Amino acid sequence: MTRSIAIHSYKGGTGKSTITANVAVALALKGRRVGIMDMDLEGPGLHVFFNIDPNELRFTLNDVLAGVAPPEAACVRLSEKMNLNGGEIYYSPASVRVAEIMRTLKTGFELDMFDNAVRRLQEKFGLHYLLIDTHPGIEHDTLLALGVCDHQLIVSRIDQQDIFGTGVMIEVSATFDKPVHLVLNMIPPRVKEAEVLKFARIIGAHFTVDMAGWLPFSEEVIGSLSRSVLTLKQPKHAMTTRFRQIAENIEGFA
Amino acid sequence: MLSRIHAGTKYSRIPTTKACLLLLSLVSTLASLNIGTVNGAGPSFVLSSLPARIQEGAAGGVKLVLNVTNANFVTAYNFIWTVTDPAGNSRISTNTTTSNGPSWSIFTNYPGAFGASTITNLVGIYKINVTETIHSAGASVATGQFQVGLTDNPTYQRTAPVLIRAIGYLPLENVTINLTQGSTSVPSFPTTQKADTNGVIALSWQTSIGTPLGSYFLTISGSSTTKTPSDSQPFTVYPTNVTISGLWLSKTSIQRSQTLEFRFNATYLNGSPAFSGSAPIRITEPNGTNHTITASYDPTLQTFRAFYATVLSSTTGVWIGTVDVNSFGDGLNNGGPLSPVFTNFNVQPASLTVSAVSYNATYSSGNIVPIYAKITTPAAASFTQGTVTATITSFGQKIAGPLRLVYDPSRGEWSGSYKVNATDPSGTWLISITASDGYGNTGQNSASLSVNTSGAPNPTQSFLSSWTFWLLVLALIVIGFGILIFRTRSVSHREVRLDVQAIKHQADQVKSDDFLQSIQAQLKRRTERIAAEKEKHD
Repeated sequence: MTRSIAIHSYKGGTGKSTITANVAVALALKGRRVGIMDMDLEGPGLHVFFNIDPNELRFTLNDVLAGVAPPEAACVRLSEKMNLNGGEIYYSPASVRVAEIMRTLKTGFELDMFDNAVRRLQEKFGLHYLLIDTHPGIEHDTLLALGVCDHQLIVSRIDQQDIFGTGVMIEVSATFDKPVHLVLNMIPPRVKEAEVLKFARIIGAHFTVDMAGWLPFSEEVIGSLSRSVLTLKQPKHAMTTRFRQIAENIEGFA
Repeated sequence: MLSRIHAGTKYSRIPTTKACLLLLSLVSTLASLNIGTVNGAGPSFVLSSLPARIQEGAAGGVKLVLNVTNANFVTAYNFIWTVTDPAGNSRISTNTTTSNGPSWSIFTNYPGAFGASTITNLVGIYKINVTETIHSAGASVATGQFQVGLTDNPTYQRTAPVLIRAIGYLPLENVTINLTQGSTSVPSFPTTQKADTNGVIALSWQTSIGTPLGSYFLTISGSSTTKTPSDSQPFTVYPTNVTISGLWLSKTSIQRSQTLEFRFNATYLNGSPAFSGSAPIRITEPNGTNHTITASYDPTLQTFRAFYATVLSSTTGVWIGTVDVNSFGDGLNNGGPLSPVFTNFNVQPASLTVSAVSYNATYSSGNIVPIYAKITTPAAASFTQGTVTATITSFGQKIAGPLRLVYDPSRGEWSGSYKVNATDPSGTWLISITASDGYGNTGQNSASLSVNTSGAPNPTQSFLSSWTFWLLVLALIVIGFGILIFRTRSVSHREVRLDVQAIKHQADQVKSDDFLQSIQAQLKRRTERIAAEKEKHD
């Protein structure tokens, strides 16, 4: 059975796409079949991690949601390109063409179209996990996507604005009756693990959410300019261990 | 027992044991002849026809069903079915069956089992008579009837099509169809149509939401063929039912004084939307008190709309809006719904908005400080009745109050004043204004002003202006800089404040917003669809 996981945040720039790409690779390296949908239709960015140019593709996720193409036609198999050693990644990029982005923003998409795409990809590729990178914030299409997924993974930094919005996001997400998980990202170097965990416990005490992991601020992740997946490029890096830990936690999602 | 009954008569001296032996012998003989025990009441026969009415030449004809109860067991029955058409011509079909129990059914089909030339080409009542030849010596055991008509139904709701069919005409014969109401032909009638190569006439007449109600008379006559009885029949057109699928609310939770908008769409039997008429919406308070508003059609929004304004004394809690059964009327005699349509909403106490006047001037002892506050309800109307007080403090120390403010209709504001005393402290004063009414609606706000009197400044203020205070501030700044130098770029989570209440309040606003509810409604429909698919699959 496939678990669909929406990776979401209240604010942009929280590291959603970085986490999506790295966790997907970590799961694939464990032999899992992983699907990725770039549902950040307003500002897609996952293709950069995987070195894919959506302009070279015949169809993108925008075409799928518009009912122009079947979901599998807008899906790229990355396993060989990334040498995933047994695992599989099927990646559905969003269009980077401004005209198409504008068209999708104007028309939105039908829940049925998205739901069918999710189900078709799950069935067609026998996925273990489908990770859906969403557009940040409380927005109609994104909330529809969140409501369809089995789990919601909310990424937050611990700055005042982000934490406030994340709290609101968790509360709103809880109305969909789906498990909500939290990843605290870009934790400043001087904040100790015990303090992060204490803060996570405080959040857990007030909101229905459980901690799926935390990631320190990393110069290397930032320095890579989102052009590669650290988990693949530097398997022994401390951040890779963290991404693997999140992947492990995802495997334990009930 | 036998002997007792007949005791005292000259033929009755038979011993009881002998009587029993005689009875046993009789039963044994009957059993050896394989004759079923006959119930004293005898078999019962009930005849029915399915359907009870068909169109001329309807495929499948009519299934005639004879239900038999209390039947003889394991014995043969032979039935003769006679159907007499409206012209008086009878046709016969027979069938035989062996009873396999006390209750069973036997069927035949008209015209299928009544000979190849039998057709249902005449309008009217077809009488059925069933006789049984083995047990009832050819006596009639059941009678019944079915009807053949020209239309697919004898009655229609407006918007339904009237399907017309007649058979038995010559191939390509010119046939005239007339539909009248009273003595007047319906528009487009009479009309002439050629029968098809099988002598069949088929057409339809579409009723609309405004089709005149009542009885119609349909006649069909061929240019060559004459039928007896002729092809004619009445049918009736009734108003159509209007369906209201749900009652939409502008908000699911409002504060007292706010106005709630109700909307609904009404659809006719054929799915087309209603765009005229009105319906009362019954608003029920938590205590059971009812109010009625009327929803009417808004041609711009293409929906029915009504508004209900709560007041500051409205009961708080869960209210119900209902469109009652058959309360909707479109003005053309069509109505609905067939079952009531409900919706709930929550009414909460009003949070009053208090706008206190701002002060630019500095007041001295002997000056009158005017206190003005504009107070509005959540509906942005002026709050005019209730209790409004002002309390004046300076750095936590109460100077005056609570002072009662009074509503000044000429200003549309609540007003009061305070005369500054020479003994009052100098410095910044805070005027806190609290508004409330007898129903639990409240609001609060404050304004600050500067006062300079001959009185001693407030001790706190005095401390703030003392050199020791500023020395302390300087020392703290130095220490702060020291820490900053130590912990450059440090953004500790300890600086992050988790304002749970504010978060939940914000989240509640999102949750009560229509757009989230629309999403949840879509997701609910999806869940139901998946469950239905799963059930179908299982």
